[in-house]
Amino acid sequence: MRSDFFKLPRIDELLSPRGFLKRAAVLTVVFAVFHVAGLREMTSFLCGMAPMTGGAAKLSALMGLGYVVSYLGFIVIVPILVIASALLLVSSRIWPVKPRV
Amino acid sequence: MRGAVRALIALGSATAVWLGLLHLLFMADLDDFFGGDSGLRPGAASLAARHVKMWSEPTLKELELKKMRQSNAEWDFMGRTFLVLALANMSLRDPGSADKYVDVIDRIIDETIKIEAEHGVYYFLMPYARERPFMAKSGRSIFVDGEIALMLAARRIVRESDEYATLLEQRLDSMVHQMKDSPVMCSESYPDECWMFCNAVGMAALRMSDVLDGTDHSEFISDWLASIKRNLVDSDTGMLISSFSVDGQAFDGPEGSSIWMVAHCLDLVDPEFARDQYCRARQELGRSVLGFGYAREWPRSWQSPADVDSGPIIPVLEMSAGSSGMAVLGAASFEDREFLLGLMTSLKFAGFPVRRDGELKFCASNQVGDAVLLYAMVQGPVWASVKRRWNEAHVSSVGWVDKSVPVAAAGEL
Repeated sequence: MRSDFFKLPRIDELLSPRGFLKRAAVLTVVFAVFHVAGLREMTSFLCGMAPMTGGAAKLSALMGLGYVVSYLGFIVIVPILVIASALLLVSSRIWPVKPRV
Repeated sequence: MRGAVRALIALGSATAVWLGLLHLLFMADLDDFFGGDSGLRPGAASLAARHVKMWSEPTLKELELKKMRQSNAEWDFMGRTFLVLALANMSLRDPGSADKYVDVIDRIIDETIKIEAEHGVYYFLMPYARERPFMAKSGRSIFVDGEIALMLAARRIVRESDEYATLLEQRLDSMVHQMKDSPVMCSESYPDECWMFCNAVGMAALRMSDVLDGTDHSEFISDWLASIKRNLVDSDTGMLISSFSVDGQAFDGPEGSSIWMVAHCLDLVDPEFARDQYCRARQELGRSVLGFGYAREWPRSWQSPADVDSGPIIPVLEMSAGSSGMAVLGAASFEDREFLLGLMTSLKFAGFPVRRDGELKFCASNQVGDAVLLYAMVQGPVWASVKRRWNEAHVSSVGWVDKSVPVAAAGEL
């Protein structure tokens, strides 16, 4: 494991095309894991019903909430990050940022 | 710094572009679920398949009902009602499969009546029903009587049954007697708590009984309509309030989880008033944001918290799962395709549909929610049959004409 794994990303790295795509990839992987794990079935908490009965009720609702958050990340945030990264790439080609002297 | 500004502008632009396009990704194909007077649309058939299977596999049914009863015993009961209504419509749409559907209807009705007989009315009510006695001496709940009557009547519209005719008559006699005793002609669902939803359901059942049995409760229904219009309309919105005491004191104002079904039921007894209520609900509660349709639980003029009927309410938007689900029934009943498209687009986006082995379910919903959606998709034939039979029997003698039936056609009857 790289030693800088837990370091906060620098702002210029975060707001770069590569930074956007990295975050999009992470969100995609998280959603894929939750989806494959079958957590979509746990989203009935949205209608006010615990997805499972007994002691597992609260945990299953939490898992459902996790699924919804990851789903919104994948459906809403990922495309925005991808489009933004494309826009950044195009704009940097057209109007390159001049390095400070 | 200029790079950061550029990145933020790119993010803002991307957000605007994507949010504007997002609904296209989930745009529902209404023809997959709705339309036509006969046959079943593929989406509706897939949704129905799961319900029919559930009532054929006791283990699956027990699991589903247990989950719902854990949150709300009413859902167990209402899920039965909406499924029976859906199956009755499906029987008329697809006569070739009617035997199968009627078999499920009978199983549901028989089991529901048996449970009520064994455990009493409280089995299908929330626990607070036991906190005090009903005001009416009979101790009956129109929530239970009205919906059982509606199930029995819907079954008889499809196929007559002497046994169910007697049961229907008993339920309605008791219901009408109780309503006549009330100052506002509405009966209790819970002790000293009347719900417009339940009373409107009762009225629909009464009109169905009139066409089935040749009785005529026109005068009673007319008095009831006059009473609710006089006593139970919210002055700010012109919409019927949802819950009130036996003497007509409002508990809850107009409520989305109630008004859409109320308008649907009123369509059998006063189509003009029903459409008026739908249009008001549409204006006060119906919303569309970025191509996604939804419904509020409360109008702007009435502040109340989320409850078991509304389901969780999303802040800012005030989006209610309960109201939005029932709004699908309202929009389908009154052929509001624009709103319906928005609602179904939202359902595809946030209802988490799963299609597997020819069956469809919405994971964010439950059995009662899916049954409401199924009923919304297939409703039409039962109501049309009641209207037609009523017009045939009364258009010349009483002069009451359902305005949703073309004048020329009504005149020909």
